[in-house]
Amino acid sequence: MIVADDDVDTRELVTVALRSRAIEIHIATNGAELLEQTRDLGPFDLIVTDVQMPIMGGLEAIATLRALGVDTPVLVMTGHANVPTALGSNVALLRKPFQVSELRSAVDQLLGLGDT
Amino acid sequence: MTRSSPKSTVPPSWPVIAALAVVAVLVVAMFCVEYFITDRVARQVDALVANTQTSIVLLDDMRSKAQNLSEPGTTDTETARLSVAIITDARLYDPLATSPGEREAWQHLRDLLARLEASSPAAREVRDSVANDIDASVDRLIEINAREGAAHADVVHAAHRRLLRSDAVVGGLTLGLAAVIAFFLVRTLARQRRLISDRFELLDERTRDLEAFAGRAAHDLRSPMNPIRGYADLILESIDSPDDVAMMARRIRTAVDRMARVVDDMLALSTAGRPTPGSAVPDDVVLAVLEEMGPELHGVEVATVLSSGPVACSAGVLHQILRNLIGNALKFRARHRPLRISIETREVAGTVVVVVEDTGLGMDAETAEHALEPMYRGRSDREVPGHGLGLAIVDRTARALGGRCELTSQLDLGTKITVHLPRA
Repeated sequence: MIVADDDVDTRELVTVALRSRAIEIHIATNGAELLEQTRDLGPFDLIVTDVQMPIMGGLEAIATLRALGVDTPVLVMTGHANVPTALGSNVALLRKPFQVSELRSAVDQLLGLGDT
Repeated sequence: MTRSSPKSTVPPSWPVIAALAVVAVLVVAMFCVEYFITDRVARQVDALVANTQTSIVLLDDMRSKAQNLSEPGTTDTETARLSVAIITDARLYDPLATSPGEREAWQHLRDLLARLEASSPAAREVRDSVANDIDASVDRLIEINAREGAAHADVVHAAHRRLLRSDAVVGGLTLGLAAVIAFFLVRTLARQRRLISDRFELLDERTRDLEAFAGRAAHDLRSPMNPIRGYADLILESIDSPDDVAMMARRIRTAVDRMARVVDDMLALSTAGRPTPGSAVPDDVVLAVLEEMGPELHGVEVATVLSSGPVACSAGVLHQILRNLIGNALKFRARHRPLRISIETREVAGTVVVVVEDTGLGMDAETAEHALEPMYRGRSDREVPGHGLGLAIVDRTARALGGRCELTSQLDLGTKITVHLPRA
C-alpha cells in the first residue's frame, strides 16, 4: 500500500500502527508523488491519502487515478470538516484525529481482511 | 503584491439638514407674508365696499327725496318732512365723505342743505333751486365715489398682481432650493449607497478570509493532534516495549510543540493589528536580529545596505517583522544552491523601506498571490515545515502601522519582500 501525507508524523503513525499487519508501505509526500509511485511501483492494494497537500491534493490525485482506470481502494484522511463524505466507490473517509483502531479497521475493511 | 483596505468617510448630514431647515423657514415665511397681505387687502376691500354701498344708498335716497322736493304738487308739510329726511341722510353720510374732492363736494351739499333748512316752506323757488343743486351735488358725489371705487379697484388689482409676483418669486426660490437640496440628497444617498456597497464587499471579503483562515487553522491544529492521539493509542498497546514508548513519547512531544507554535503564531497574528507604538532605528534592529539569528544563518551569505532614519514602530515590533522575514528566507532555501539574503533599509518620500531579498525556492504565481494570507500554504511550498502565518503577521503589522507589504517572487529564483513603514 502507499501512504500520501505531507505531515511526516502522520505518515510515521500510519506506518507504525499498521506494522502488525505485515504490509509493505510506500510513502508519498503529495498527490503528484502518489501518482508517480502508482505509475512506477503500482498497482497497490490500498491507497491511504491526506486531502490537503502541496503540489497536488489527495482528492485530485484520486480523481486522476480513477480517470486512468485505477480502481484501487482508497482511504482518505482529513482534518478538514467540509470534505464531502460521498467520495465515490471503493473510497472510505477517516477524520483526523483518528484512533489507531479506526485506522486499522478501515484498512482491514478496504483490504477485505475482515475484523481483527 | 500590495494590500490595502478601502477607506471611505461618511459624508456629513448637517448641510442637508440646514438646507431643509432654510426651505422650511422660507415656505412658512411665504405663507405668513401671503396671509398677512391677503388679509390686509381683503379688509381694505371689505371696508371700501361697505363704505361705497352705504354712500350710494344714502346719496340715492337724498337724490330721490330732492327730486320729490322739487315736484310741483309737494305740500309744505311734505316739503318739511323731505327736508328733515335729506338732512338726516346728510348727517349719516358725513363721516363717509373721505375721498379726495369728496369733502369739497360734500361741503357744497351741506351749504345747500343749510339753505334748505333755513328757507321758508313757502319759498318754493328757493326750494326748487336748492333741490336741483342737491341733485347735481349728489350726482357729483356719486361720480366721485365711482371714480374713487375704480381707483381702489386698481389698487386691489395692483396688490393682487404684486402678490402673484411675490408668490412666483418665493415659489421659484423654494423650488430652486428644493431642487438643489434634492440634487445633494440624491448625490449623498448615492455616495452612501456606494459606501454601504463597499463595506458589504469588504465584509464579504473579510468573511471569506475568515472562513478560509478558520479552515486552515482547523487543519493545522488537527494535523498535530493526529499523531498525539495515535501514539497515545500505540503507547497503550506497547507498554512492554520501552524503546517504542520512548519513540512515541518523542513524537507526541514534537506534535505538541507544533501545536504550541501554531497557537503562538495565531496569537501573534491576532495582536498584529494593534502593534505597540514607539520608534526605532531599523539599522540597529537589523544588526541585532542578525546577531541573534547568527547560528541559524550559518553558511548563509548575508549582505546589508543600511541607510534609513528612525521608523514609527517600536523596536520589538520591528524585531519581530525582521525575524519573520529572515526566518522565511531561511525556511524556503533551495537545496541545490547556496542561500544569499540581502537586507536593505532606505527612505523614500517620508517612508522607511525595509527590503529582504533571498535566493531561495521562490514561489509560483498563485502562491505569490496568496502568500500574505494567514495560514496559506502554496503548491510550491513542498515539504517546508510551517503553517503560513509569518508573512501574514508581517503584512498585518505593516498595515496596522500605516504602511504596507509587497511581495515579488519567481519560482527557483527567489523572493523579495518590501515593507513600507512610516518615518518617525
